[in-house]
Amino acid sequence: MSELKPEQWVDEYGDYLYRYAYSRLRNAEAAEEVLQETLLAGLKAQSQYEGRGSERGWLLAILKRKIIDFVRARSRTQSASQLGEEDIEEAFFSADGRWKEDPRFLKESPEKEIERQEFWQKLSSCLEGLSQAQQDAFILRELEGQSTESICEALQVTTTNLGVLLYRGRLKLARCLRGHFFQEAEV
Amino acid sequence: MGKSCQKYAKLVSESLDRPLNLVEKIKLRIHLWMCAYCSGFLRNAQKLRSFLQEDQEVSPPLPPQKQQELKKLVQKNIEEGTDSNPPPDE
Ligand SMILES: [Zn+2]
Repeated sequence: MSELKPEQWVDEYGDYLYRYAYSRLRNAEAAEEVLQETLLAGLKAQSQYEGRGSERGWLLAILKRKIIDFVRARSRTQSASQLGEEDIEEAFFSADGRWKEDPRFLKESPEKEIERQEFWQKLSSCLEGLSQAQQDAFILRELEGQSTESICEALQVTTTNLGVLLYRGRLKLARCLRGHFFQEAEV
Repeated sequence: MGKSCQKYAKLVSESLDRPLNLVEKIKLRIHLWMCAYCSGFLRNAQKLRSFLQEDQEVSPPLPPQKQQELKKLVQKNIEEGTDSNPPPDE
């Protein structure tokens, strides 16, 4: 049975939790805000900690909920979640539905440290090319591994619309990452 | 490359988010077997997913000023004995 040591939280896990939040919310202020809320919620919920699992894991679970809450609140303040532009599909497909561009961008997953860092940097700038709703959908799905149900609930979109958000987001990313990275060999 | 790629590319994306029904599965499999672009699109999306879930981005560290601020905040809350308050309804 382990115990919580809240006086050490910021020193021990502050950086870890902040980086985690930053990579999901892609904004320093937002990451600070959810970290602060996580710490406060953790303090209030100490009696619910049952000593199972690590202290860090427990705080991370709270942080993950706060991240979704943040995205939910943010999406409420935005004008109706746009599905993103049609033109990404027009850019990739001819009028009769054929690929105009090769959508492949990745030959092998980046493995060397330098490649991995470069990849994250590139991905990060590519994500900025997505609409906020596309970004949120993609990050919650692919980084957070959230279910489609909880993403639909957070973003206030239907399953069909989430499908469109993710599809267009993935097309945009493929286009943005292509040519800068690990191009697939010609077939 | 086939005329139906736009339709199948959407289905490729959906296959990453929901279980396809049997008809969709069979149609998609046949198309992917013939189409290097759509199957490449799927492979890339799958690789991207596993990479994103295994790797950790090198994000900027918590700014020292904010760190100090949070430490004070936590300390203040501990001293005030937040734990004895009723838990918030989340
Ligand atoms: Zn195809």
